[in-house]
Amino acid sequence: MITRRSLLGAAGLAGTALASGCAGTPEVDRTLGRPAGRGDSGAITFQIWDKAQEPAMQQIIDAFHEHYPNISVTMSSAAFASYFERLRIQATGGDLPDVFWINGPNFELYASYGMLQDLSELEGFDPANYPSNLTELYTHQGAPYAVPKDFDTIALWYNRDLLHRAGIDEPTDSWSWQEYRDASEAVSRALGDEQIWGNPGGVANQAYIYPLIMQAGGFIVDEDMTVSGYDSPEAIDAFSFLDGMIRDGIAPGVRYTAENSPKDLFNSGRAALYQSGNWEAALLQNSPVREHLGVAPLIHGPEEANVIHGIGYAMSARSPDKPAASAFLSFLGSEEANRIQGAAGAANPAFVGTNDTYIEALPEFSLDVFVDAAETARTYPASQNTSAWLQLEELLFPKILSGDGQLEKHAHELATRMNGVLADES
Amino acid sequence: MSHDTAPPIRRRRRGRDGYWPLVFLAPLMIGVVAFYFWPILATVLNSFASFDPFGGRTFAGLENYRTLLSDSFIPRAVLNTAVYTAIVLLGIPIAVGVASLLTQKGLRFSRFYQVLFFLPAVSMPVAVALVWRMIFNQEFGVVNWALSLIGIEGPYWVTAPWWALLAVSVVGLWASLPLAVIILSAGLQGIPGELYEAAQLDGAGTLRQFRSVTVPLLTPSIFFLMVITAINGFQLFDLLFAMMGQSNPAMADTQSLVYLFYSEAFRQHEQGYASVIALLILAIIGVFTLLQFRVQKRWVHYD
Repeated sequence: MITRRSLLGAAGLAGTALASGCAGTPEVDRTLGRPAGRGDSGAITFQIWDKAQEPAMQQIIDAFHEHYPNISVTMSSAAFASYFERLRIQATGGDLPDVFWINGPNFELYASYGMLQDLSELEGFDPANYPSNLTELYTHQGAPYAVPKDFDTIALWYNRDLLHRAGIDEPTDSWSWQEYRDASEAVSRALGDEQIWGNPGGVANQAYIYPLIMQAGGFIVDEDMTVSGYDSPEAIDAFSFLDGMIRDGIAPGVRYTAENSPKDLFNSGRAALYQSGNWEAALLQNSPVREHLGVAPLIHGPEEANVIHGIGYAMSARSPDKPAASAFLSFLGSEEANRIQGAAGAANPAFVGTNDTYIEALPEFSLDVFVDAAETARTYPASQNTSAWLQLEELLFPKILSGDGQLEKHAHELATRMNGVLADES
Repeated sequence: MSHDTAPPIRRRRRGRDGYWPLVFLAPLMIGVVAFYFWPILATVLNSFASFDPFGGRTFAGLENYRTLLSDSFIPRAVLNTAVYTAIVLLGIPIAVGVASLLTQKGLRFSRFYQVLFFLPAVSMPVAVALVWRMIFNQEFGVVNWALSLIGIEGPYWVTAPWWALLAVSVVGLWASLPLAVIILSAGLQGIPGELYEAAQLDGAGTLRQFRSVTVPLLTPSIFFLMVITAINGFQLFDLLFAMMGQSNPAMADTQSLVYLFYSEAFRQHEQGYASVIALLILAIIGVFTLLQFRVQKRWVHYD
């Protein structure tokens, strides 16, 4: 089994070497041209990564067929864990699907290497229809390269029952860091004997560490995408706030949460407060403690800050059937398609004014909190090679919060390594 | 064979067989060249290149090698990989004991035991790793439960530095046993019974027979296993990846060389630097294996 693996690795490298010899030979026609008309025929491929959203996507394709009966759309889905490895191989071989999902961390990479179609001229697509901090995520050199599909923001999920048992009233508005810490402490002290925590800690980036650093007044990556913010005093403040709760026994340590994920702790009623996104709603509506669960606006530090991220629909710059792909893409971005996806409860639609469909699809929780948060949320931090520093975060966030007394040293190492990645970006 | 007669014989043979030997060798050779020699060569070439994420290459000279020297993850990864390999090698003496017990004449249920020892080899490595992760769980794991019975509070096996490496190594050792036991069992059955009879006549007890007959005659199998096990050990990856999981505070201190290779090639999009790491692994394995072949003359008995 070992030789097979080493062989695969080596073959992979050799494969890229081979492919580099032949990729990029034909000059790409970058103009979009006119979309297909109602009666035109065509065939395009569409690639996504979420099996759970397949039914909703199929509904959208069916609705598209009613408008364009002669254009066939073949959908395929790959597991998220390997989606972007697969997409990179497809791109290297000049074989991208015509239309596909992309996310914030990978967008700039594909856009800057000319893999994506410039959508400035796309008929029926108006970036003003979506939250501006979301369209910014999918803008490259001033032009839109993907149509926003949905969005996530962060809020504070809570377990009413656990809070009440510790004598705490549930949050109705945004708590300060201190209120969050005090409430967590009260629960951990009162119910610690039952293995119940005030908050379940963890090292989630988008849902926990990014917003806290921004709330402290810091940044993750600067606007020019050249400097990491992880060694700034503000980032250290945010890390120290989390570290302090772990040290004082208010939140579980990183070794514990590596084995018992914060999501599981909250979902099974072993944590009272859980800062996370609206994507949790689908899971939490089946939680054994769901009748105690509610959601409140995100906490705030010296500043208020939330993070918005959403999936985008992109078109391959080398698509052989751009008219059909254009027609499909502008339908995906339409109010009609967004309403379908919202009503299916699949995701919170990006088209402004269609969110009521999603909120009504999951009536258990008041999800409007997440929609309200979008107005002031900051764009998800990303640079060209985001995946490289995401891996560094994965490696070093837990070290920073490991409680070994070297928080600043580890934060500095993360920043140094991330600066190295940013310097390598073209 | 004398010098003046040898060449004519060879020439005549080639003439008689024509190109047929090549034709018969071709299927194997094409595979070896395409999937072993070419990738190694490509890796060497790539180690001097800088890649963009979509395969475009530019010549980078020795830059990737300089990165290797300044990368603070490398020394720890070399150490981790060496410690893992050393612990997994300890499985060989254990396997010698197990194999000689299993092949004893008159052992009841010997087939059943053989199946038990072979089970790790037919289980999915990742599934096995996940089960071990549960076994080593700090709060609910059976290991720490057993330790608590004798009053010891067990560590965080898979999320604390060094403990995590130890836990992974123990599982690696366990997973290496089936192959070792099979090869050693075969080796044991190849030892002629007369030798034991002769030893008995000379008054050797069971232990003495084991030490003076069994072990020396097993040394070729043991040597083979040491080479294979060490090569496998230096390529530690999937077990580590699956057992430690994501957001693990011990990961930065427990990375192996192949794990670094994986992150550079597939997460950091640095195929050039990943090639250098691959060559480093190749070099370490090469030197270590060469060393083993040198030393084996002193302790391996063929017949």
